[in-house]
Amino acid sequence: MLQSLLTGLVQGSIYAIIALGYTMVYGILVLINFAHGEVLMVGAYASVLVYAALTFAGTTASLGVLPCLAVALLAAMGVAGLYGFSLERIAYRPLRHAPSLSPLISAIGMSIFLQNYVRLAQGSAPVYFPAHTAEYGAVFGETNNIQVGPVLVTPLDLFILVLCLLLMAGLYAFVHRTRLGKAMRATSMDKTMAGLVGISVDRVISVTFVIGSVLAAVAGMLLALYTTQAKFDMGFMAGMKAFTAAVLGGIGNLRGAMLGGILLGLAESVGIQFLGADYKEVYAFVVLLLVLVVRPRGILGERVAEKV
Amino acid sequence: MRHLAIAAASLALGFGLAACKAEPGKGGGGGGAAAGPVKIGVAGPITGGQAKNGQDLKEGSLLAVEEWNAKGGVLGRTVELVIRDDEALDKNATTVAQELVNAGVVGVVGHFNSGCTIPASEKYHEAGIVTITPASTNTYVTDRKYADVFRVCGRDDQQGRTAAYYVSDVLRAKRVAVFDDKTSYGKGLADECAKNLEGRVEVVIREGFDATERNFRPYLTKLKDANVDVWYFGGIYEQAAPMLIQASQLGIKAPMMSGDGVHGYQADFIDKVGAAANGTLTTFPDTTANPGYAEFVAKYRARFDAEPGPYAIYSYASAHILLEGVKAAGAADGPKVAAAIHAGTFQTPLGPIAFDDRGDVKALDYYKVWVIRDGKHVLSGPK
Amino acid sequence: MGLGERLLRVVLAAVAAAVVSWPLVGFTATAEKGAVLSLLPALRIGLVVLALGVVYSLWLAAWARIPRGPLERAGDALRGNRALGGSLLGALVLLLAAVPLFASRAWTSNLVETLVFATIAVGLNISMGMAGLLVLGHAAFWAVGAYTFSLLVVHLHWNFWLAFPAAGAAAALAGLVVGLPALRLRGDYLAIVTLGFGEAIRWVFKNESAVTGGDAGIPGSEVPGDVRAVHGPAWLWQPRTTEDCYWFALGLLVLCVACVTLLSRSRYGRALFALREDETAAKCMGIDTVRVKLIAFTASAFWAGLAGVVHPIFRGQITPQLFDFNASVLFVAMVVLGGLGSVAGSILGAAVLFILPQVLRDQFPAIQEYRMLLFGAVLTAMMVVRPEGLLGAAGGGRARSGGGGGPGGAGEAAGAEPGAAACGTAAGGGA
Repeated sequence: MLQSLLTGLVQGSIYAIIALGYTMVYGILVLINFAHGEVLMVGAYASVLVYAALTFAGTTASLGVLPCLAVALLAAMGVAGLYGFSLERIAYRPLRHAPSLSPLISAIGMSIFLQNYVRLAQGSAPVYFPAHTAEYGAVFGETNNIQVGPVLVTPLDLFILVLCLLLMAGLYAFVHRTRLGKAMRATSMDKTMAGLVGISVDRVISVTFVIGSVLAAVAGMLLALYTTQAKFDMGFMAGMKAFTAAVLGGIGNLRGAMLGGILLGLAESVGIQFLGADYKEVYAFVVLLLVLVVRPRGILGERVAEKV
Repeated sequence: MRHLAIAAASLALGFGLAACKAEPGKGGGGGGAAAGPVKIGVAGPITGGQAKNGQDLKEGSLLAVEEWNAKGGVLGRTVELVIRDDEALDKNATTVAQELVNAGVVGVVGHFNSGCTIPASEKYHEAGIVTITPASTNTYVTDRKYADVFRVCGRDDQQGRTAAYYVSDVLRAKRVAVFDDKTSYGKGLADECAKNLEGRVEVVIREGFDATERNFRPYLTKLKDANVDVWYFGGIYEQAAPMLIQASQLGIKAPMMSGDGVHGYQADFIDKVGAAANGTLTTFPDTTANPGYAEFVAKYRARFDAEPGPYAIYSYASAHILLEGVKAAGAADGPKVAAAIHAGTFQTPLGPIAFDDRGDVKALDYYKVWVIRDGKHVLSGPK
Repeated sequence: MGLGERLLRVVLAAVAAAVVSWPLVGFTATAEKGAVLSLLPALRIGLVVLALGVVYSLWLAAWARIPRGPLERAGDALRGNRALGGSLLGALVLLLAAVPLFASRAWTSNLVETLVFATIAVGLNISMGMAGLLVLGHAAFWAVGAYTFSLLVVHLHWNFWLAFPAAGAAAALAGLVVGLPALRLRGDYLAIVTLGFGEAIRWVFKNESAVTGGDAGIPGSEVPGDVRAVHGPAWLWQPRTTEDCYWFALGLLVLCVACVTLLSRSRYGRALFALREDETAAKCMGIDTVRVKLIAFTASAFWAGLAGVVHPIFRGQITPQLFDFNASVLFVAMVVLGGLGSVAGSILGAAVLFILPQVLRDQFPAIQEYRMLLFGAVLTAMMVVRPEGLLGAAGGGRARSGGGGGPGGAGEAAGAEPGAAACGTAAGGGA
């Protein structure tokens, strides 16, 4: 039981990081960014490729695994940020004043495009994180596992949890403490008014996409570490789960996305523990439905007064 | 206005048709035209996570067909391969099957995954096209007793039995976990294994997860707590690889046992997993013991400059049997070819092959158990 | 935007495409073999984007000079003439009915699925296009119809003509059950609940293998049988072959279009449109919004259920994979691409989205690998160029009058988009 709580917490915090990207974009554009999962996949690829190159060059052995992971992470963030930025320029910005479902289809188109683009460029077989090297084993191997009572904690669990917590705290500080964060909040409340008070709405939206994509890249690398591989279709399921998490917490709400992600991870892993794996993908939705019946706008979603 | 729009839409449809009418007639079933090349279909996971299997299938068949064409083809006609990709998804398999039927192939080498072969062969059977699968081991493939469906590999009941006896009699395991990937192949194999374990070894966990699952920690922590001696996985290498790496990170010492879906993938499985793969048990025939094996591998290397995967030799043999069948039947006609294949015995790198009335290879109870040591499969004995 | 400025933008877009694509097309690495760096694929992508962008800019410049008066007048003349439109429509249906007699088998079977998807899309248009509900799990109702039919025939040996309406009824019932709690939610919350339902249904069919045949499908290794079997009087026609399926699916589509057209013109249909435009205002006018939504939702599910009957017979077997999330997405894309609220648009959307990949595969074998890549790019490009859908309500006059000057954003995006499509083409070439 406690073990499954830990597994759920780790998986859930990855969901939470992805869900943050969904919820930020939704908060500002009221758009489900269907291609968000694909940006995650691009980030995962970038991190695996860079780390693999460093492993080949012997840098991971000489410099240590963690610095190399940091390099891979930075590369992934850069590449994913670039893709997120381009995505918004190509597929969403021209549709900003279009009927509300059109950007959704445009996003679906981009999602299909990006999956196949990576499939053609990098092959349809997965690329593996080089987890079999000695130096990797020295950090993430079973020798470093810690037994806390009935719970087995692996170094990878700790790495993921710490990184996710740092990111969430960092994002929270950014949104609430910086000028740009303030501009983002203002834009999400009212785009027109934000523009009138001198906020460059286009710039804020671009920044939002880049930040969301950078978060997705981190999640992508963590997912690649956790599942040991990256594959061109990995973003789809992760994106779906994170979208559910964002709605569960109340879409558009940052704290809601974090809470939703972690709840979802817990629901899955506790569900597997007690009810079996058959309906693993369904547990999340059952929890969602139960929450929405009681709170139609998610756990932390606000009851917005309707404009007439 | 609305009507007009519908008319426009329908017109678009109509024009599409008019355009397609112009292409050469591709109608009709598997009879095949009297002139022109003899067409043979190859269908399997050419792309996707199991692309190595698709590559074996494609290249094995290609090797056979090129040899035949070098000798002047069959019945004085050249042989043409029509290659289609099902991505190991059953929903694509039926579509692909329809395309091959429409293309007028006489027979099909494929598909690879049982879940694809079963629905696809229904289409082929209906159209009078011969199916020879080099790799689908699910019992139902041939248990339908279609006269035109053959399989060159073994069956899951043989394979599951071999594995179960090894677990109980050789490993003398007390507690076992059985997982599968919920596909026709994986579930079928795991079910056969679990059935044969019943009453002799305690199966403490019996669970299935989706074939797209890549995070196995929830199952593996359960497995660790259950304290099993060995765990069986009915599935394919693309899942077994991340599963083994994650198991080693969790410190699981009990070995994994699996079937032909995990055997023989050096670059795509063993090299990726590294030391964590050692100790893994698989069931697979000892193809290397066949007299024709070395010659086949030499030819394959010379042609493709690569190492053949486990099922390349089976694909080669399947294509070869199909063409021998066409030759013996004297016509590129599905039912006649099927009858000829049932009647004959064929010399292949796998040894002489003849088929029983179900379409299974006669007298083949040949699964051996292998264990991975120092990154290589090593024969561990039949019993 | 002048031609010069546009060309400048194209050059910038090409450079950007090369830069953005480089990390994924120009760089591969494994721990065993090391890294491979190359600039060529990215350069190639940039060149393709440049070429496409230049062609597109020139085409736009040329397009602006073509007078459209006569064309418009002809369109208006046709639009005003109901009798002519009606007879044209009748003739086309007859022409379509004759298709299996002269088209190749391959195209007949492609068209069977197109007709089925068109029926589902037209049905989905009731809840999405008319009532404005975003449904991301419509494949579930299709699945319920298909499975109900197959289970009744295989397990209980029902006659086709009994199992057929039962499939529709079961799907409608499912729609009702999901709709009751879900329709109290708004917008994206509804979308995610329908999505969840769609996934849950698929898992039920996948897991309850003793009844549904599991992943192997029905009929399959776990539940053998024959969905095409004739149970009942032999003289009673029922679809069995591909051609039968074609005629049956065509009939179903015609019936569906007729019903939905009548519905959209009824009092009830106007209530739906009112709901879509402004839910709160509709409520104030005394429309029972939940009830109206529920009826729309159930009607959509009903048609998907009826259409579900064709696939088991056409393919001989159904498996849970057929009804995955991709199918739901495809349905939504058909409706939106065709134009929300337009019945003909949904048909056109289905035809384009289903036939496009087939044509790409059959007619251009050289680009077979890039088929799905182009599909995704074209989907985005079509939305960027015509956000209201091909036959959308905002189409016609407004789009044309704005065509000359055009909102800058649309032009810019349109210029960039073919570039995106080209990205992949060259990416593949380099891989």
